[in-house]
Amino acid sequence: MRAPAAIFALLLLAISCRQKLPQEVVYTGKKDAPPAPVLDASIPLLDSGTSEVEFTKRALLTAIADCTLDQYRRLETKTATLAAATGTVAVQRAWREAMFAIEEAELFRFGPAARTTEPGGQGHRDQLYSWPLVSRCTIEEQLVAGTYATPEFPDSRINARGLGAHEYLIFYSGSDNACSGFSRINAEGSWAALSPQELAAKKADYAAAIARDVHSHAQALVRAWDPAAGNFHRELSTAGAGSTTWSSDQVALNAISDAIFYIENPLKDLKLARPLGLSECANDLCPEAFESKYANASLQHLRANLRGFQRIYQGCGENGEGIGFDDWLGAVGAGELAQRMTSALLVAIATADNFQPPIETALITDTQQVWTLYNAVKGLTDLLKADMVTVLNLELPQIIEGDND
Amino acid sequence: MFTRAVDIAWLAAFRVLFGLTMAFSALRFIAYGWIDDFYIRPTFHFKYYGFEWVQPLAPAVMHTLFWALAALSLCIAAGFFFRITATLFFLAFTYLQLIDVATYLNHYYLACILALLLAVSPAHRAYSLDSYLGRVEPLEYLPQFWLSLFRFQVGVVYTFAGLAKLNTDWLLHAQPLGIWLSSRTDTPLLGPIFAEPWAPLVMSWAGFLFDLTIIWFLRSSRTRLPAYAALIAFHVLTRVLFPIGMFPAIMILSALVFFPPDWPRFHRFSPSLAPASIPVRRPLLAAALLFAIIQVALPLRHFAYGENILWHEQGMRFSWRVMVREKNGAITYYVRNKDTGRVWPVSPNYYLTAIQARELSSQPDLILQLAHHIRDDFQKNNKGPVEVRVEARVSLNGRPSRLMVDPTVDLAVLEDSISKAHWIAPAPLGAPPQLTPIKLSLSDR
Repeated sequence: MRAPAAIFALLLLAISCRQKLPQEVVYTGKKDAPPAPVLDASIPLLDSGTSEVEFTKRALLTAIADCTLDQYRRLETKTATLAAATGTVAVQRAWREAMFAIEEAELFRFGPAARTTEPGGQGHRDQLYSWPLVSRCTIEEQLVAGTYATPEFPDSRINARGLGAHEYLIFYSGSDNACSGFSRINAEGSWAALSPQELAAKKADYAAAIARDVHSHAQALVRAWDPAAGNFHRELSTAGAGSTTWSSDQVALNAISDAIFYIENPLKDLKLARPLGLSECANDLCPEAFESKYANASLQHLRANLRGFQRIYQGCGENGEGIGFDDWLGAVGAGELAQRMTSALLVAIATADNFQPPIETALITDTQQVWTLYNAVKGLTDLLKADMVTVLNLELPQIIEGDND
Repeated sequence: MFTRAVDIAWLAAFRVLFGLTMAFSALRFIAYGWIDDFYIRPTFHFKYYGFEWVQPLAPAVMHTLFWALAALSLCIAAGFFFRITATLFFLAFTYLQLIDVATYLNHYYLACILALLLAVSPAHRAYSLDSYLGRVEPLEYLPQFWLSLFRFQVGVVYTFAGLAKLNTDWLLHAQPLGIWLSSRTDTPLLGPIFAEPWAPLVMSWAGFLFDLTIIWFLRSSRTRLPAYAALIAFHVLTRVLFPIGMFPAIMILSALVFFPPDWPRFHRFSPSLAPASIPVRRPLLAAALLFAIIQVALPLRHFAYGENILWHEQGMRFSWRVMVREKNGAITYYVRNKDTGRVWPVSPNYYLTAIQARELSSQPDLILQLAHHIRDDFQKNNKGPVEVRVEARVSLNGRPSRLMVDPTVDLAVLEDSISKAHWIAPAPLGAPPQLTPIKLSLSDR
């Protein structure tokens, strides 16, 4: 009896010795400086992740499923407006509004929006907006060939469809093209043969075809999620309890976590780092790497991305009300982390909202301001990568299923 | 005692099971596309100290090598040209492990050791094609020495895996098990238990006591069978809960060495037919002694570095510290041109695959290696000379992230070595957080 008694005593000792988390300190690397508290005193503490309703993963999954359907319904409304719009000014305004909804929806790339290789994926996102896969030359070749007017257009090359191609068609008014001399449109002179009126008419027709195609995919997304139709809503909200797409709630939540890592890549590493010359840039700065080349809407896209993140992380309401990942953090006992992440998110949103002038101009005239935005986003992604995935035991995106020990 | 004659059947059975397990393992690599993911796709590989010269072969050769490994494994199982095939398997498998530190796993290391022990043992002298074809003289007995050697190796794994859990995070705060179990509350049957607040602590202690005591229960004839049943249950549970690949299979088959040496036979082995003793050559004994010293010294070397090994990771590898920490980080390098003063923040993702980046974020020596590679890359592209510093924010067992590397140190001028790395920042002192498991829904209570 002695051994079991000793083990029991040890267990009791262990339980009684469990400590409360003391104030953590950060190593500053400066020998003379005192350790700095992890929680930056300059960032206000917010009521984050402290919902009074008891949190469950099912509630979170259902809230995100509701939010996703709401997001796609708003997108469908915007793409309907775009498809019906006539006249340059109205089409351009409708494009900006549709793009805001698309860029918010970038953070919802799971289920039917995801690629067909992903669980439940139907590839709708790439059909709506294939950036960074957009080829101006391919668009111009298809414009001359009139591909947009053929029944095969919805199955044609993805880098010449979607709202990325649409942007070029409705915002770029130049008469040049981006193809080399070897391209058929230049070698045979078919591009040069187009009069300015013919070019404008073809662009308008092409843009209208894209708008119809985009709207059909937005409708398909709504149908896929709608409880009265495809009911993917149920697949997500019952993950681990009847869902045929996700065998466990954690796997489904991991798919959502992968989707919100959009703010790391491409938002930080592609949309901001490349123009700043941090990667794949031969010069000090690469303004041509900005997302919106013709409408100068790159900053608006970033703002929408951050709003999309907020809708999943904080909650789907206008100012983050509702159940989100912050409530999950709060429920597991990591309320402080939830507050730090919310603060970092609000700093990033405020930095983007207060940004002046357009980011394409600011990169040249006020590079420091772009750096400030980059660092604000990095502050959020650091917490996401190091802290949130640890506490919630989420896998990082693109980690292949491999052995461990 | 090493010269006492024992039945060879245990070793032949071990050879067969090991060969089949390794063949399956090689085929898994092929089927899952891991050859490309681990060896071909990366443009940069992390190197072991002293083995910087080991490089991956051409893609076609790497794929061929895995088919060859599967074939060699089957030859080992069959005991066909055993000395050659087992030696080739050991060399090929070890070569694969040396290509990239980011692929290190304790059970791959164990497979290397077991392959080495098998290759030098007389495992092909019974129940093998070599003996059937008359290539070697069959044996019925071998000295106790071989059984003791294998038992020692398996004992080392369990014992040091248990000792690795002898820390406050594991035993007092139930981390990282608390983090892991909290995400598995929808596991069939066991999920509701994992959602109970006491479950992580009880399971932490159970794992610790299991690892530390199991070999002693396996050694006793009275407790062996229930202990082995518990061992199977333990490893099956860990396989259900965690992606630990072949590790449970290797340990379940390895633990068979604690059974009587004639366990594979239908009829009991009769000691009266065995010779009284079989001599063991002195060089072999000396080599085994050296091997044993190394196997004990390697897991203990972390004491030379002090502080928290889970943080600095000096002495972490080859120490059987299996699944003892949850660590994630956000790493950004800052490269500064010494002439112009221009600073570039550099993401590791630019150089690494996702799985390499994950390993990097928890292991300081890999951070140093990539710093050197970034230095060389910048200088090759006429952006040098440069200084390379790193901001490595790392969370250990759920603690708030903090800097793991001194951000003021220029890593470009540091050399990798086995001495204590003073450029690694002190470990966090506080306890890890107490996290509450979340149920799937309220009706799951």
